[in-house]
Amino acid sequence: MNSTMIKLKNLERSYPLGKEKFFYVLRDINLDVEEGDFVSIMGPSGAGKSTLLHILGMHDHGWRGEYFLGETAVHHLKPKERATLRNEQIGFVFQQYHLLDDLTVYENLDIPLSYRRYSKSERAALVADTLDRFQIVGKKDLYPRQLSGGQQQLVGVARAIIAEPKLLLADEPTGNLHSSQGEEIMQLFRKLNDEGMTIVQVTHSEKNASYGNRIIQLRDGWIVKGEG
Amino acid sequence: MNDLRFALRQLFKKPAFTAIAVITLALGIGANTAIFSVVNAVLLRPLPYPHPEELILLRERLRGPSGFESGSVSYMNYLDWRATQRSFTDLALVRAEGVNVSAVDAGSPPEHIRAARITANYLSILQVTPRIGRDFVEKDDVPGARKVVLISERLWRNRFGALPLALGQRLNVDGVPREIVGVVPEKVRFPRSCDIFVPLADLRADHDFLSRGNHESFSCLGRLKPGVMLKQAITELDAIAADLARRFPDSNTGRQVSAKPLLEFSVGEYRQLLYLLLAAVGCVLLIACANVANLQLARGIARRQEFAVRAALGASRWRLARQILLETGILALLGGCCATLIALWSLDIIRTISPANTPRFQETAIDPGMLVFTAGIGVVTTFLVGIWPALRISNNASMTNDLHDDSVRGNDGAHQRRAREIFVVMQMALAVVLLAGAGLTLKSFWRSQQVPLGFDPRGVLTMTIALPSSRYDSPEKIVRFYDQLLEKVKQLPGAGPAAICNNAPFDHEEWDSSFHITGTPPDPPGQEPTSEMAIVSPDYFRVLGMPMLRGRNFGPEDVSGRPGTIVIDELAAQRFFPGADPIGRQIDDPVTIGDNNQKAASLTIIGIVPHTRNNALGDKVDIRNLPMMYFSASQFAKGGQNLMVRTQAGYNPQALVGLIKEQIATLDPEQAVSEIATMEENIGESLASRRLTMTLLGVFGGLALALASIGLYGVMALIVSQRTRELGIRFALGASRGDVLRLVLGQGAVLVGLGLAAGSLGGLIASRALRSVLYNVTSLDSAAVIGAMLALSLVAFVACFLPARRASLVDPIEALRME
Repeated sequence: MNSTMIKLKNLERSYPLGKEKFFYVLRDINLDVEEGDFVSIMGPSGAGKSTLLHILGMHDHGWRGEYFLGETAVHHLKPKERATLRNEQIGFVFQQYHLLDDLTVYENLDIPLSYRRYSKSERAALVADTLDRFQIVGKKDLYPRQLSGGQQQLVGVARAIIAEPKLLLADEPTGNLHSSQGEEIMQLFRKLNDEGMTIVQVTHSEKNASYGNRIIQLRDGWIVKGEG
Repeated sequence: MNDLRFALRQLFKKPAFTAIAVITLALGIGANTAIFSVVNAVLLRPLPYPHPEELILLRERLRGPSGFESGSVSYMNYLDWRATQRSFTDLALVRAEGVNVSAVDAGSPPEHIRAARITANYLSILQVTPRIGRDFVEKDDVPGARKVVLISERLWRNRFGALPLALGQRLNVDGVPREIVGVVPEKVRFPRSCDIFVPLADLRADHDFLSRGNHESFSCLGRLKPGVMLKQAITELDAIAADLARRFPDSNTGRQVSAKPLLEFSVGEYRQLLYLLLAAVGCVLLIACANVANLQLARGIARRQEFAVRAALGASRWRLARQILLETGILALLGGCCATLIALWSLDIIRTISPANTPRFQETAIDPGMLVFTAGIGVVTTFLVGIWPALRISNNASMTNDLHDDSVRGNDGAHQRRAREIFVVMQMALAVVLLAGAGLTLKSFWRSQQVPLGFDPRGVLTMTIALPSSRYDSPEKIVRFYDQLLEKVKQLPGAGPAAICNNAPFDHEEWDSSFHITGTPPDPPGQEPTSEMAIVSPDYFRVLGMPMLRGRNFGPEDVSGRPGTIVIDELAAQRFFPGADPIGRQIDDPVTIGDNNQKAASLTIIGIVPHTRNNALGDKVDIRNLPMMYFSASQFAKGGQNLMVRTQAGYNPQALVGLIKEQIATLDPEQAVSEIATMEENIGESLASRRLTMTLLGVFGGLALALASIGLYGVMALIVSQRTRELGIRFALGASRGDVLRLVLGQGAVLVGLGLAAGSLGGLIASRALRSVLYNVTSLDSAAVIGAMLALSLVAFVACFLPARRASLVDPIEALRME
C-alpha cells in the first residue's frame, strides 16, 4: 500500500488588504496525495492553483494550517529547514521554463546539484546520465536562447528531476508550448510517473489532466472536487 | 570555480554595465587616492626626523600698522634667546642663500647652487648625523675658523659618485676653498633643495651682522625639551622678547617671537587648500559610489527573477551572496587596476602643475593604504547594494512574485525606486556644488590675472647673479662688474634695455625696511613707516615699461660719493606724502643698504613711478601692500642681483641666455647664473597655487557632471523600460508622442529640480569654504552657482531626453504584446 506523500489540513493562504481585511487565495484546503499519484490541479484563473503548487513546493511560507510531506510536519519547520527539505525531496517545473540564460544546458542541469552536497565527480556523472536520459547530449553546450520552447522545457524537466526528488511539481508545464511539444512533455511525465515519481501538476488542459490519475478542482480558493 | 566562471560571464555579457561600473569606480577611487596621497605627503606625513613634533621654527613678528607675522631673526636677538631660554634643548640659526660652487682645480665651470648657512648645532637639533664624515663642531663656526663645508647626498652622488673619497676634497664656494667634512642625509630638506651647508663662522664678526636691528633672512630652529608644551615655550619667549624690547627699544620695540612647528611652518599655508581638494574629491567618490549603487540596483531588478529561480533550485543565502561577492570582486579588481593607473597619471599631472618650489609637493607618491581604503569603500557600496535584491528574496515570505515577474515588466519595490531617486538627486546636488566651486576658482583665477601689474612683463628675461663677497669686497668692484655687464648685454643682438634689481617683481627675495621722513618728528619705535626696497640700475624702469610719472630717473649724477637719491612709487607718495609733492623731500634710513656696511644719509626723492605688484596675490607680502622705494645701484652696490633684459619684439628671450652667460664669463669665468626665466614664467609660477586649485576643482566638477549625467541617464532609461507597457497603453488610448515625451521628461525634471535645489543651497554653503583661496570674488557669488546649475541642467536635459525620445517611439503593439 502506498504511503501518503502529501497531507494538507485546513490550509489557507491570505493577503492583507488593509486593517483587519484579508483576501483569501486558498481556503480550508484538505488534500492527501499518495506516493505514485499523478495529480492534476485544475480550475479557472484566480482559483489559487499556482499558489497551492508553490505552497507545496515551499516557495511560499505565508500560509496557515498543516502540511505534511511524508512524515515531516512542514508547518513546524523554519524556512531554512523547509529549504533543505525541498532540496532533498522536491523538483519544480515552471511554466516559463526559468532556465538561467547565461548558463549552458549542461550548467543549467548542474546548478541544482551544485546547491546540494554532491561532489564534483558525482555531479558530472548525474548530469551526463540526465543528458543521456533526455537525449539532449548534443545540446549540452548550447544556451537556452538557442533552443526551442519545447527543448527548453525538456531541460527544465531534466533540471527538476536531476537530484532525484520524490515529488515533482509542475506549474502549467506546457502553457508556453505548441501542442506537439506539450504532448512530448506530458508523455515524459507519464513515463516518470510510471517509474514511481509522484507528480502534481497545475493545468488548464483537460488533455494534459488525462495523463494523470486524479483531478482536483479549485474554485475561488476552495477545493470543489477531488478532495483527499 | 563555477561561480567565478559565471561571474566573469555575467560581467562580460553586459559590457556597457561593466565598463561604466569599472570606469566609475576607477575615477572615484583613483582621484581620491591621488589627492589623499598629496595631502598625506604634504600635510600628514611626519618630518623624517626623530620626534619631529618637537621641532619648532621661531621667527620675529611685529605688532603695529606696519607689522608682520613672520620676519627674519636678527643674530643678536638669537644669541639672547639662546642664552636665556629654558624650553628648548638648543636653538640654531639657518637661512638659504645662493652660492657659486666650482671644483678647486681650474677649468670647471661654476654652478650656482642653493646653500644653507647654519650654526654648528643645526644638524644636532634635527638629531641627524651625516651619512659619512662628521657634523660641524663649535670650532668650525667661529670667525677665522678653518673653512669647511657639508654637502648634500645629492651633490655627493652627482659630483663624487657617492664615494667616500669625497671627504677631504675641496670645493670653491663663492671663491673660498672649503674642505668637505661630511655628507648631509637626503632626508634633511629644510631649507629645501640645499646642496651646500656652510657655518656662520666669519659672519659672526661682520659688523653689519652684529647690528641688532639688522635682519638677514635667518630663521631660528629649536627642539622642545621633553615634556615642554609649545604654549609654555611661547610664554617664555614672549617674556624674553619683552625684556629685549625694554633693553633695546630702538630695534626691539613691538617685536615678539612667533613659534610654529616646523612642519606647520613649511606647509601650513597649503592646509586649507588641500583639505578643500580632499573634500571635493570626496564628493566625486560619493557620486561614483551612488552611480555604481544605482547600476547595481537596476541590475538587481533585472536579476531578481534569476535570484528567485536560484533560490527555488536550492541556493542558500550564502551561495547567492557569494556569487555577488565574486562579481563585485572582479569589478573591484578591474576598477582598482584602472584606479591605480588613474592615480599615477593624476599624480604626475598634479606634480607638474603644482608650485615648483613648494615643499613636499614634489615628493608625492601613491599611498597604497589609501588606494585600498578607497577601493574598499567602492567595493562595499557595490556589494551591499548588489546583494540587496538577493537577500530580499531569501528573506521574503514568498518568492512566488519574484518567480513570476519577468524583466520586461521589471517591477521594483517602492524602496528600491526611492533609493535610486535619492542617489540621483544626491549626485545632481554634489555636481552643482563642485561645479560652483570650480566656477568660483576660475573666476578668481581670471580676476587675479586681470589685476594690473604696473609694469609690462612681456619679453623680459631674468636671471640671478650672486657676486661672492670674497672676490667683490668693495662697492667699486661690484659697480664696475655690473656696469660692464649691462653695457655688454645691451649690445647683444635682440637685446633691448638691460638693468639689475635686487628685489625684482616675482623673484624669491623680499626686502622691506622702516625709515624716517626727514624733518618729521621721530616715529615711536615699532611704528615707523615701512616700505619694500630695491636697488636698481637706471634702465630698470625702461626694462619694465614703467613710465616716470613725475620727476626724473637715476642718471650719471647719482653715483657713489654724490648725495643719495631715491625714486618712490605712487603708493609711497600717497601714503607718506598725502596731498603734497614728494619730489625734493628726503628720507633717512638707519639700516645699511647694500653690501660692505654702506649707510644711507638722507636720500632725496627725485622721481615717482607707478606702483607695481611684486608678489603672488594673497602672498604674505602682497597682503601687506607695501609701497616701493628704489635706490641707485651706482650709489648702493649689492653683489646679489637679478639681471633683467627686455628683448626686442619678435625675439625669443631664451635665445639670449647663452649669449649673456658668455658675456658674464668674459668678465668673471667663475661667476655662475641661476633662476633663469622670463618674467611671464615667474608670474605664472606665482599663480601656480591658484592654477592648481582651479584645475583640480575644474576636473572634479567635470567628473561630477559626467558621472551624475550617466547616473541620471541610467535611471531614466530604466524608468522608460519599466513603463514600456504603460506607455503602450497610453498610446493605445490616444496619447501623442509629445504627450509621452513630456511625461517622461517631467519625471526627469523632478529629479533634476530637486538635485539643483539641494545643490544650490549646498553650493552657497560650501563656497564659504573657498573664501581663503578666492581673489576678488565673494564666496556668495551667485553667478557661479547659477552657472553651475545651467551647465548641469543642459547636460541633464540631454541625459533625460534620449530615453524620453526612445519612450516616445515605443510601438504600442509591441508594448502591449509584452503582456
